[in-house]
Amino acid sequence: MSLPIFKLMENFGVPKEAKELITLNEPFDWNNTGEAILELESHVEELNITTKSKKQINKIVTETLDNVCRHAIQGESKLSCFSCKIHDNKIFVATRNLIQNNQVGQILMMIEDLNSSDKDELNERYRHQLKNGKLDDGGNAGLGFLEIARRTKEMIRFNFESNEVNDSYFTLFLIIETEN
Amino acid sequence: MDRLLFEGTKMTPSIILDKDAGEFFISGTSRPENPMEFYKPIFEWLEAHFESNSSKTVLKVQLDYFNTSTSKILLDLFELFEAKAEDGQDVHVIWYFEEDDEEMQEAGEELLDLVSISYEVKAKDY
Repeated sequence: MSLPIFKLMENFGVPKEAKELITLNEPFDWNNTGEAILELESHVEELNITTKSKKQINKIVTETLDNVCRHAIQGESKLSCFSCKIHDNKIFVATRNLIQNNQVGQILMMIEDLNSSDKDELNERYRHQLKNGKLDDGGNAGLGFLEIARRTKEMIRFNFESNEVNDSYFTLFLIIETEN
Repeated sequence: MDRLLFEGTKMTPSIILDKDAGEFFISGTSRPENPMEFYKPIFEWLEAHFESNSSKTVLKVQLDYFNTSTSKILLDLFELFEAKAEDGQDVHVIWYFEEDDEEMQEAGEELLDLVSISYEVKAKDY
């Protein structure tokens, strides 16, 4: 069973007083995640931060939600969740979804690789993938995590928890530092 | 077909392909569920346009936001223009951004730097 949504943030040390901007806790699809992006955008528009920061939040959140829509095991009982909070100058973003156990090793290696790369390397890899990669049938260009990694100053944090024999919960946690 | 129009939605861009004017305009937001399916008719229309075209073709892009799948599609589009320029077509791309939107400016520069094509990246005129 998936953790309660508030635990998503607590487990990564987000202060209890952090203000919730948006939460989505249901099977994800392109429509409800699209609505969530628009709702978040309206909340972010009211924040006293630069346009660059607002765009970064939008970009990172969209890529995380695209990622869940494209790769999570979906279904009525297969809840995914997403939460976005703010505290001081930091935006906290978390998603949680079910994946096949055989995806765990690949995702683990990919994120550890991204976390060990500096921004110049990430930018170079992004451009290389953009130029040489192909869109697959599911619309995946292999750019989403690269984009997230190069736009967040802090490392991508994550964990996996076994659920049933064949699947695990994958939690992704990101911190976006905003500028006034 | 001289004119092709796609009405924008909350997650897909507005697209106007106007053969008579030689101008093609993409604006709004691009996060389509299936990007290849969404953009396929546009590529087909442009290919048909270039088959019978002898005048200048200008592509104007004025997006507020697009996801990484769309980045790939946009680069494919610019590469199509690059190939047509190599075949002797007169093509030009203008990438517009809001004056304070560094993110969109940099995104345009990053994409267009990957092709050898005549282009401008400039703030929107009002």
